[in-house]
Amino acid sequence: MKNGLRQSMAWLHTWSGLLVGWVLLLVFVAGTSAYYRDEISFWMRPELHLADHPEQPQAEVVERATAYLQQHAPHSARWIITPPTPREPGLRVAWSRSEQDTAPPRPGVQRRGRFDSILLDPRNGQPLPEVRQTRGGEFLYRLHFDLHYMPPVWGRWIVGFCAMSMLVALVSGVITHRRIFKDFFTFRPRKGARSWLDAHNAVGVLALPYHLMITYTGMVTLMLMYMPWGVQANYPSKAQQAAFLAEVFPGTGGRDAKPAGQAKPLHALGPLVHQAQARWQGDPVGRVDVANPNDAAATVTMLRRWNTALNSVQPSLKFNGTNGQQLAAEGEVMGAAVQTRGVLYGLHQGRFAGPWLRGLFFLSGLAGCAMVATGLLLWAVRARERAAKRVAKGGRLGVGLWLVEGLNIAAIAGLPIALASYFWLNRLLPIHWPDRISAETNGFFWAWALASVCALAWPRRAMWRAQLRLGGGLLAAVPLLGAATGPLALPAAAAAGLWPVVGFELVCLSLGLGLLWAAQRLRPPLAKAMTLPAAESAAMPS
Amino acid sequence: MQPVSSGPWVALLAQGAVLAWSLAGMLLLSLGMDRHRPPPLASAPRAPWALQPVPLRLAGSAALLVGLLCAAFALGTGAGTVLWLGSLSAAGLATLALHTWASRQAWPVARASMAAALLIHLGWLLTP
Repeated sequence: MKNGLRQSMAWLHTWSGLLVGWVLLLVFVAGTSAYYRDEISFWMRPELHLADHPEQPQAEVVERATAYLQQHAPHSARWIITPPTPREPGLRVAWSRSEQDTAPPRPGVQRRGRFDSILLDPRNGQPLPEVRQTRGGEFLYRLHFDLHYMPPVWGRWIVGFCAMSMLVALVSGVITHRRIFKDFFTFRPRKGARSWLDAHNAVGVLALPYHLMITYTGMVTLMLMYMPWGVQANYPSKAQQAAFLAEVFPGTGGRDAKPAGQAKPLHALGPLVHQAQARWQGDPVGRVDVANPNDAAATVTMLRRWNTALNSVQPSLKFNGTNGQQLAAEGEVMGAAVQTRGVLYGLHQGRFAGPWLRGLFFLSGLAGCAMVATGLLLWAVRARERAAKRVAKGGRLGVGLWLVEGLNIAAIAGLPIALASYFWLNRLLPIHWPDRISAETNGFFWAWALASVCALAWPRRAMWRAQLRLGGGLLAAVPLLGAATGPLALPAAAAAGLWPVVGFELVCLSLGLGLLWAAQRLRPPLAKAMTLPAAESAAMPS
Repeated sequence: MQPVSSGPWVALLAQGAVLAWSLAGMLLLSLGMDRHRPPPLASAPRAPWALQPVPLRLAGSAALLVGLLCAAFALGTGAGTVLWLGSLSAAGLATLALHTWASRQAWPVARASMAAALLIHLGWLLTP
């Protein structure tokens, strides 16, 4: 132990936070934006902004989706129908492709893995005309735990490791913080490292319940992947494991069942929707999953839509797909373990939250981003102070400081550039651009890579200012971009009651102005505390 | 505690009340700390009873408790607690900003947020 508990914890806090800090910042930024993934997706499909989608009876909507699927994917092994919600007005249908089916997707059809999907007009079941292909907010949601350009399992292991480090950093940070109550509401600006420490403490402590909750529940969401041995030991056979999964994840059991190979018409889904709604006291259906449609082994699973309950586990009903007979009702009676997991998962996703509470989740997420960013900056500021003394004695700056400085710029100032580039590309690329989805996501990473290379090549104050200005400018101009490339400018969208569009553009504007303000503030003496002075930089390793 | 079945306006009023109580509670608690003592305590030879540290802390704790009850009543125990904790974080950050850049306004804002919370409760009671 390094000179007592508190010093040991300080050491642990520093290194467990620093080594994974840049990945954590990405996870926090992407995860925080994912609270509004439906709204982001809506903004990124301006063709839908003026579409009038009055609420339709769910049974009719599902029947329309079925008619489309019968016409376009009758031999698919699986259909997924997602009826419209107040936050997602389109009717989305998805179907699995066989491995032999390598034909390019039809216009309007979006391809991801072995699934094709399309947005339909819920009023007539026809594809919505000319809707651009984009992953919208779903990209950011997936990014925060799958990462990108790697198998999702790798990404989840990396994110899990970083989350564990964050949990260690949080607990050790609380132990380290000697004046946690005395300094509860204290921020002393313009005092160099002291200011960064105050800011780090303030955003860390004031949103501590959120930070602990989101980190712990984040690991719980993937606990069966991180620690599968308990399940494997207690449910050794495949049938037992299937029963376990059906209990923990209602509605997922048997969806990969083999077809009987005997053609049989699918039962009408409308009456099944009515039956499910009646069983759930009128609550709407959130998803319809059809396994082996038009086959004698067809099954239809209906999941209840998320509601305001904390528990994320939704009950499901399973029907025989050929005669409509109810086969099972899952998730209605839950054991304590399933309920506990469901509540923890629900807390992480925040789907139960209404607009107000969702806003508080978003604010707390931003506090998390600020906590990670200020922690990274604090390390650099302190290291620079030590390095300055070394340089004064004729020494050289270490590679570590140069690397941290560069990565800090890349993560803190470069990430907003990448995010803004994603939104700009979405609106500027022509609708029929080949492989449009990849172009958008690749654009995100190209912009970030470029910002990172520049940051590592020249990690100085001017780079901070340039990147903060660029990211801030791009984000602040999102409302102008929306007005130029979408059907309605911000005031008109507000007048028309398009609140997802208004909210998204106002948040971008606010974040952009905040970054521009930060760039403006990056003048001496504050800048001196953030980046290497020219004399010191000259001694940096090239 | 189960959430009260209510319309969107009542839910909005309740959430506003929780935030107002949280802000009032946080400000009162902070004013009860030595570091953030309100100006009248520092200047006047004898501070009014309401500005003594102990009453400030008691009033702050009570405001936070009322906020918790209000949140639990509006959204149920589970989601209500989440709302309360989120409101505490938001109110805490606002308190910190106020003490940093407008410390003289902390006491007036605390009184205003208590008044706002009471008014919202009144509106809540009057909403059919």
